[in-house]
Amino acid sequence: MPTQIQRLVVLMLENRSFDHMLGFLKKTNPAINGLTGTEWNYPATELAPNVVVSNDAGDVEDLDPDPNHEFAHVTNQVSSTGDPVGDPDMKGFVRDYFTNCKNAAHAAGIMKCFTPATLPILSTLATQYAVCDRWFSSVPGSTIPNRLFVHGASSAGSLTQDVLIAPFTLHTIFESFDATTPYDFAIYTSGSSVLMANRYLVQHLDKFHSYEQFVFDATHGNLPAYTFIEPAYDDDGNGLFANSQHPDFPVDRGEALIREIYYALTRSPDWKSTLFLILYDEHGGIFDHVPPPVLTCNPANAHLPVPPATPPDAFDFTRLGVRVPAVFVSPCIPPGTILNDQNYEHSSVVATVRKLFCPGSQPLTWREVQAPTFENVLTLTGSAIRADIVKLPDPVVSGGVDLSAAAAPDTPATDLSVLMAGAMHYSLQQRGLTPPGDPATLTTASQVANYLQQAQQVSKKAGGAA
Amino acid sequence: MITHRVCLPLAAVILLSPTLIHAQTFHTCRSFAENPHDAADCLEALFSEDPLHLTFSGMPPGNGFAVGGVLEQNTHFVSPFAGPMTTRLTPGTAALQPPNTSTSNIPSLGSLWSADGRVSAIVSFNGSWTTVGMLTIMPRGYRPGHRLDHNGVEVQCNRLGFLCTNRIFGLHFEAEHRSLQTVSFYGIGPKSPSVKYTFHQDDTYGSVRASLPIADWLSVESGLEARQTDLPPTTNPNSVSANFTPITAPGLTVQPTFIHTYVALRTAPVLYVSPRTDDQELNHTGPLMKPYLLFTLRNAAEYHWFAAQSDAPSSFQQLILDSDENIQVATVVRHYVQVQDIHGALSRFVYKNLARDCGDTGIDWSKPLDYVLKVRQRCSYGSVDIRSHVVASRTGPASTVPFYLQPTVGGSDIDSRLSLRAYPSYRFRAPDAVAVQADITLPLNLLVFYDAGTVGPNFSSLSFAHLRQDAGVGFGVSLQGNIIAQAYMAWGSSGAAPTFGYNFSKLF
Repeated sequence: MPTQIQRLVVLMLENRSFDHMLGFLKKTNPAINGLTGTEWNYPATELAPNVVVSNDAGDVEDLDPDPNHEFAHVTNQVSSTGDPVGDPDMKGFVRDYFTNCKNAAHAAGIMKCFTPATLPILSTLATQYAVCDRWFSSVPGSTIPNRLFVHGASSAGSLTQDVLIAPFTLHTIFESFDATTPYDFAIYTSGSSVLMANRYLVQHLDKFHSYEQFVFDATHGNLPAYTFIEPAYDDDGNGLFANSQHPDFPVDRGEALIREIYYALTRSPDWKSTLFLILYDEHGGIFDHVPPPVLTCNPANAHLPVPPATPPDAFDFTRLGVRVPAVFVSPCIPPGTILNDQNYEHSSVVATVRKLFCPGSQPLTWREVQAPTFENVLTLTGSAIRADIVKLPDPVVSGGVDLSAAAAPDTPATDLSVLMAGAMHYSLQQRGLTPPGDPATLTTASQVANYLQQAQQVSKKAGGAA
Repeated sequence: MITHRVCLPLAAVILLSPTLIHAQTFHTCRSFAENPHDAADCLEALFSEDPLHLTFSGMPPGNGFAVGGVLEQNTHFVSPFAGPMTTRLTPGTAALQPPNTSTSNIPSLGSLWSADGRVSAIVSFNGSWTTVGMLTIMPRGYRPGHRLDHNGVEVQCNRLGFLCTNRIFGLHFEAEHRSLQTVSFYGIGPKSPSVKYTFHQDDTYGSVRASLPIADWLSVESGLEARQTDLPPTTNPNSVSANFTPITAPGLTVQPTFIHTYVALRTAPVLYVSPRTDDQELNHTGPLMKPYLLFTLRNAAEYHWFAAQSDAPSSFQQLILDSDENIQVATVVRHYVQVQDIHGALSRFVYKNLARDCGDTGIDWSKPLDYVLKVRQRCSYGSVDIRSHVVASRTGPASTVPFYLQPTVGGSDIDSRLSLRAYPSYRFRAPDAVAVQADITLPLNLLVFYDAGTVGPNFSSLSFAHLRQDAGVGFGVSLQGNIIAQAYMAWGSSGAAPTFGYNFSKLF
């Protein structure tokens, strides 16, 4: 019988596809569904040669401007014919990026991928523990809907970033940690989280902690059963750097974050029963070669609908998004493990958490019911449980990256962080509270950080009253 | 009285506003006549939008509240001496190479950034006013790094040479002119009579300050300031100029320009204390709680040199010691408690409060199996804050510290620092001062406090014989999430009556 997971720690990073990050792991382990190096895309312009994947990702300027990854763009990326359902060919990424950056040579950068040499920490953990090469983002769309799925197996009908009501109304797995289960949860943030706008969680703000506390809590046995970690989405201009790995931030900060969390967990008294899952919310418009699957709601689960997207998209959430990296880390996992038995997606987190920690509660949606759980990735038991701690290398500084530039306090705010501020604004208004300003006017990272800090304080001072 | 010096900057702010305030402000403010619900949005926008917004702020005690305008701009300067930096990977050669474990190939450039530029002007209802310009510049040169923290875990930091810190070096420039219509004066010394006189104080500063983090808990700071204070005469019969002399109020007739320099050592370690345990969720016996304490220990030692440029006898030096030790008190649950484990009304009362402090809700007290406390839940009970402020001045044989630069104890001082809350602001004034405070903050921002302090002509005279004490209760008032005021009742020694006081910082 496999070891029971008693601690699940999930870190969800930003906007990178599986092939982009881990595709070239195939060269070290052919069993991984990665890249051979011959995968290609149609060129940005008709007469140019096809664009083949390359192993030279790293320069942050490659993905500036941010590749589009809204629903319509994802459709064009996965299907060069514009029909994503039939048999997506995954050959439209370059052309779609060209519509954004207007430069054919630059658009080819969407095919650039990291290697184990340039992404050493995630690659090492993926090979020393387990990598899932069939984990798909839940929505063929952008960040907010996908981040909602990892908490609620639904995006509350949101297909775009702009549906500010969705984070507020979403029913999440956290609501299932009620008085009927002995388990608890915590959310560690570096300042911002879309969860802070949720109508249930605003009444449980004591569950939110600063990331600075995480290392201490992990090493002192204070982590609850389920821990979700939010990375820093923006530079704060005073030494805190964005480590979400969202393009066009450098990936090495996120690598350092992964390493920090790994080392903290290995020093935890609970390490032998802990599973650390590293996930990415969606592909960020970056190339991957595996077509996303189509889902069918089992009629037996039809009573648990996923709220459909509102027109004009009218999407019913029966198609997954592009594949993203998923790495499982635990001493109960043998090196070289590959998880590819089923199509996993973010709802798998919800389903697994419920199965482990809230077994008496009701699932949220049919997507949760049908999502495969991953608790069986822990296969080692008893004396076979590993005692080794993998020595992780230093992050590789991205080529050509002016890392100190990231410290500039006038760094423009990312769309994501502004949207989080917007969601928080909406949430406060719904609760009859006065938001600390108009999020539409926020332009810099430091402004967003200040806004979110003030909004959280407004929420806390209101005592979470609905 | 509002003088032309007040009117000019205020007029400038008002005239500039329509051209700089964001379009959305215009939109909401134009339509609020048609839709009164837009009034709040309009007001909010007027006080918060960048780059220019209105502000509402407390002034130093005795000068009420002020309104004005703030122009904020984050500006990015790049030095013309900055060269291009390219350290690119060669396409196609990176795969299967050993990881590059060196970050030393990232050179430092010569360019600079300004972190934050801010110009503000406020005027209070008694005619006091302040204009401030600030600029923060952070030179480039930090690289990503990592180090072992006290838990033995490799954590990230920003590396500058051998330094590896979370915060980074900054240069801060500031220029300010402040005109205060009313500052209280009760004479000098710990036994000065409680007769209030007032004076008008104008201050003009220009300063540069450099702050370098040595470690996350330690930084060094140094600053250079040119400072001119003027005490314009007033016609008020209770004015200092009408009732005191340069002997009883040194510096009353002549206010030299000071070149003020200082060095400071600041420590701010943050320590968590909680025993390392491996309690499991299904623990049902054993200790109920373990402590979880968060210590934030802010301490500073500063040494200041005030060199008078035209009146050498006014030169003096000051040693200032500040401490602010904060302890957040919390516990972590070690074994679970269900409704069926609780017997008796008193026990139920205790556990209901514990459940509230530990953040659990939705307990159905009629269900025996509902969990009241869960293992690893964190329970928060408030905080303890102990502060102290010590000023020791040193002068030459024939030198004195101008009275307007002497520290004060009582109410709030000119920097809005609280001391003896049962006493009026600026109540005691002398070259040397000591003040200590203990605040206990309970849930719901309730406050219980104790203050003690005194002043003296020299450090050895700061005796318990002249120590003033008070105690009180109060609560914090928050606006937009920030505690911007404390309202309190304080009872002091020496027959001081219960006092209702407040202490405002910036509102918007």
